[in-house]
Parts: sequence; C-alpha cells; structure tokens
Amino acid sequence: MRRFLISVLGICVLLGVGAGLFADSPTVLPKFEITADVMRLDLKKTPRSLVYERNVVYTSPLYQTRITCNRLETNATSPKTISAVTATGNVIFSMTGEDDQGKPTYKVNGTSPLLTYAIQNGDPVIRLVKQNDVQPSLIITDLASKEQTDLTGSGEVMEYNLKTQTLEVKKVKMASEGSGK
Amino acid sequence: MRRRKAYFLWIVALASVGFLLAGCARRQAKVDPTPVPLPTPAETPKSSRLEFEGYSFVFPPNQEPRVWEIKTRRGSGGTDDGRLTLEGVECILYRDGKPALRVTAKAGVAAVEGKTARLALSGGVKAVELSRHLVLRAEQFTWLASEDRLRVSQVRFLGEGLEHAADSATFSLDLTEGAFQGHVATKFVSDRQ
Repeated sequence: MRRFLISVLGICVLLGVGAGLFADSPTVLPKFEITADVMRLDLKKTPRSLVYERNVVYTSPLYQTRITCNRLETNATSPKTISAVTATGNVIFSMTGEDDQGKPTYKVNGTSPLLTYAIQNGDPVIRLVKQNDVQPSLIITDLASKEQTDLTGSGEVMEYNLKTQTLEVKKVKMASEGSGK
Repeated sequence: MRRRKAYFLWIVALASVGFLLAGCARRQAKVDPTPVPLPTPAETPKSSRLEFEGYSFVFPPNQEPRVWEIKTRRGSGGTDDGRLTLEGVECILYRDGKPALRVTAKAGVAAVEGKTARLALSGGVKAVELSRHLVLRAEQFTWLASEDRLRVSQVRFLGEGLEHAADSATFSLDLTEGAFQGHVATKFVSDRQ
C-alpha cells in the first residue's frame, strides 16, 4: 500500500514537473515596446538593423523608461536582444530610478538632440550629446525630498548611469573633464 | 373657293403632323435595345473555363527556375485570362529556383500574363521563411514575381524574439528586409510565444 502511494505521488510529481516545463508561459511583460509611423528592418546586417521614424515612442518597464523622438535606431549584440537604442530629433526622455527593494527613489527627465540608451557592464546608461549648438538637458528629481538637480548645459556629452546614479560629463565648457554624483 | 383651299391646307398640315408622329414612333421603336440572349454555360467553350478540386500546379510548367508551386483545395479559372481563383491555398514560393517561403491562406488568385506571375492571397495568410523560420501573418498578401517583393496588409511579423505589427508592409521574399508603415509597433516576445 505504501509503495503504491509513493509511486502515485511520484507520478504526480513527474506530471507536475512536465506540465511546468511544457505548458505555455503566461503573457510576460514585454521588456520594451516601440511604436512609430514607419519602420525599416534589415536582418541581413550584422547586427540586425531596425530604424523607426516619425512619432517614435520607446517604453520599457526597466527604470520606467520612456523616450520620444523623430528617429530611433536599435543596435543588437545577439540575435534576440537589443542592447542599445540611438534616438535623434526632438528627443524627450524620462526614467525612474529605484533602490535595492525596487522602490522608486528619483526621476530623470531631459531633452537632447541625440540620446543613446545602452546597457554597459550590466548597468543602464544614457548618453546625451550636443548637436548643432543645442545643449542636452538633464534634470534629476529626488522623489523623497522633491529636490531637483538641473544639469542642463553642463557639457557637450553627458553620461548618466541609472544604477549607480553617476554622471560623467565630457567636453566641458572649461575644457576640463569631470564626473560627479 | 378660298374656304376650300384653307380646308385643304389644314388637311395637308394635319396629315404631315400625323406622318411625323408615326415616323418618330417608329424611330423610337428602333432605339429600344433588343435583348441579346446571354450565352448559356453549354455554349461557353469548355477549354477556357475549368473548375477543380484538390489540384496542384507549378509555374512555369516543365521549366526551371521554378517560381511557385501551389496546392489548392478548390479552384476555378480560365485559360483565356490566365487567372485562377483559389480556395484553401498552400504554396511554396521559390527564389533563384530554391524554396524560400511556405504560404497558406484561405483564398487567393494566381495570375499569369506572359512571363509575369502575380499571386494575391487573403484571409489568415501565414508565411514561413524556410531557412530562418521567420513568420509573417497578414490579411492581404500580394507577390509580384517581376518585382520580387511581397506586399502585405494588417501584418504581424515574428522573428528573432521580436514581434512587429503594422497596417502594411513590403518585404523581400526571404523576409530579411522589410518596410513597415502605419501604426508600427514592436515588442519583445518570449521564445515560447
């Protein structure tokens, strides 16, 4: 009797594991979504190329990222991932940083003529670049204190690491280079 | 004497009017189209129309490189206009003589004029690229062999972990190059979806 119960239990466990392995997974939250009026796709290029134009909106649950622009190009390091996006033309972006418990702690807003959003060494990094005398704008708001740090016009190239909250400014007006937090 | 002459003139005038009306009436009758009897199916030459079930055919027949191979559950067509109306379509489109795309659809029209071939499919169209397993779904699908391009509408394209949707798109036959237009949306999909 005991053997019979053990064997039935074993079969149930095996069936459960099998069902878990082979059943369709529930609809997962998309890692990102891009909408636009026009898109060109080229899978022959290495890495593959996706170019979006007109009314482009990139959204991702990671850091609640939202980028709107006129043109967005994706870069991929492997066939199934998009490791970076390059946005140009009236770029407006917003992101929300979180603490270790996933609680939103600060918000990043800004505009830039050229923006690159990439994963560098596992960290999400936004890079803002000046173009045609148009300076990038970056405003960081602490959600607890509502204190704002306006970094507009700090430099021609600004790199902000959302994980470490580190800002690196290059080609500063005073011909120096620095970084800060 | 004058009165008689007047009566005579009246009679002549009335007679003229009468002849005129009669002439017009006859002319009206001539204008009426005479009904032309429609040709009955029996009169239609049997060689120009055909209906078939469970039929498969290739284009061009007995010649290389092959352009398409079509299997259809049911269909009809005429040899005079080179058009075949298809129901329940399953086909393979060839590129450089090699199978490139497997396509299924509820309905379609295959048209051949000289050396140009055109395939228009509709209703739940699914196209699978045979080497990279890229999947294209659409409501309308047109392929012009001369242009070597696919035109699709209400499109969903799945490939390499991404799903792209749009109102319309054009593709190369191997689905590696595409241009999407209208309400374009790309999202990440897991491998299992």
